[in-house]
Amino acid sequence: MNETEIRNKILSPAIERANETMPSFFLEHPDDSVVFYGRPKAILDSLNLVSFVFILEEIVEEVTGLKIKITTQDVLDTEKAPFASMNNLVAFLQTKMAGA
Amino acid sequence: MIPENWKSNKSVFLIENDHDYSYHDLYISLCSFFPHFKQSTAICFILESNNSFLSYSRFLAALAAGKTVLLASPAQFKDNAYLELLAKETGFECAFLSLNAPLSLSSKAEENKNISETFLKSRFIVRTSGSSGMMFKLIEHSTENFFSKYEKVGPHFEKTYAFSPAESIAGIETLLEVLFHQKSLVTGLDLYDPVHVCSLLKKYKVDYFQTTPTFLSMMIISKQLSSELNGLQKIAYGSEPSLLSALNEFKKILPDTELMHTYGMSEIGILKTLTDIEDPTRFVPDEHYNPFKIVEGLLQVQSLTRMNRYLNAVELPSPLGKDWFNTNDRAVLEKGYLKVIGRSEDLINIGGRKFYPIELENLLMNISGVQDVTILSEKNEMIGSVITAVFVLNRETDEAEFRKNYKSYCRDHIVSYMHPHKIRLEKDLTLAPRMKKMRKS
Repeated sequence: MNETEIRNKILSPAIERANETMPSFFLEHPDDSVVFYGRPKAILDSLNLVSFVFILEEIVEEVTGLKIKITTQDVLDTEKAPFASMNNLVAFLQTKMAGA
Repeated sequence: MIPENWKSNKSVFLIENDHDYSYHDLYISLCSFFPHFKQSTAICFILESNNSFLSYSRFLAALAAGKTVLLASPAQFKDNAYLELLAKETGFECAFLSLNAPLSLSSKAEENKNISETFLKSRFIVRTSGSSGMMFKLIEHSTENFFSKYEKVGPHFEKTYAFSPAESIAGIETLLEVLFHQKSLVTGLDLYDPVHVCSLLKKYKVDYFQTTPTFLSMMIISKQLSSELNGLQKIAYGSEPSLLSALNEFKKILPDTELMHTYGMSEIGILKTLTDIEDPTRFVPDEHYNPFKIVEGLLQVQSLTRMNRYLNAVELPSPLGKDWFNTNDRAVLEKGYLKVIGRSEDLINIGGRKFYPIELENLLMNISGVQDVTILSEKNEMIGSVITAVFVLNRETDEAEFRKNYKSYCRDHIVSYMHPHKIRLEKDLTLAPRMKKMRKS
């Protein structure tokens, strides 16, 4: 999957599902300035991050049939910082799916 | 209560498939099976059991023959590896007997004058349910302790229903209590759907029904609980935490039926309790029979029907000494009544904040459109535990509308660390074999 496909088929539906089901998740107009976790003004904390991770894993499997596992190590990777921005997250998911 | 008294008693012991079996029938049946067990060199019998006349007769005959008896359900009996494990864990030389195995019956029912003595001195084994996900334990009990209890407590029903599985402590207690006071028992033969059970309760005017909170919810959800069950004088529930919403709903439908919150464990039998009328999720053991204390948040009790011993485990000691049993249940005292909030191992830990599944379930039940909810937990390296809320919705509830309601309710009424990490919508509850909620994912 290329980056555009990941944004449209994985990330946008995941954000939509999170908006529907996560009690403390509000992201009306996601754009590249969004910080998911791990930096100032992040929209997720360490408790609800897990819920968002599950949603991502679910959507990836629903759309591609691939089972990916996002681990604590992935989340805490300061170099890749997958949840620090939209671009980082897209790149991270692309790598994860390629390795699945 | 001695079996010899049954010989001349023509009153009904058991109603099964519209057929009445009297105490006289039971005595004859017991005597027919007795020689088979008496002649065996095995110390312990593992019997396939269900709530049938045949099963009860064989169980009692084995006890009367001085055997230690362990009952196993038909499903368990199909699994040879499991049966071997059971036998190994007892530490005894065991023989197995399935329900359809032919026995060498005496052509003339053998009357043995020592039946009552050996019956009273008999022992049986129960297996813990393992509903908290741990390996089962085998527990040895003395039959005599149960009869002593029933003698002290006295009769409190005329006719009851064999709801609990025959091999469980609740199932065995139901049978023994009926026998001791020579009352009647109705069996649906292990059919657990609310429609079937309620029709039998109604048809045979059962006055005392012992069940689980989960099954009570199922009776309400399936609309089988109605004022037509007005013959029901008492309904007892226990073995898992209760949902207050279900009990309040029950009170509206059958306001004259007494609610009895029971408390028991395989290790100590079912305790005599008093229920808080204002909040029937609370109860207190009757201290005349069952003194209790809470030590460091854990319930300690004394019981007339305390086990002899574990056969394959070590008992958790009570800080109060050997006369006390450490239930390992977390409990609090509220206005003189106990609220049991869960087994220690059911405690959910999210990033250091702790709570029990029932606490969150009680909150989520307030969401419009929810029939029932179960909280499941599993370990997670990131935050300790992750929780899944499994909802069963009312038929007419729109899913999209429910998700909106769910989100706003959690945001407004539930502290963030208790928010479920996943939600799942199911058509029915997932239950353990003993009609309790399964709490491990």
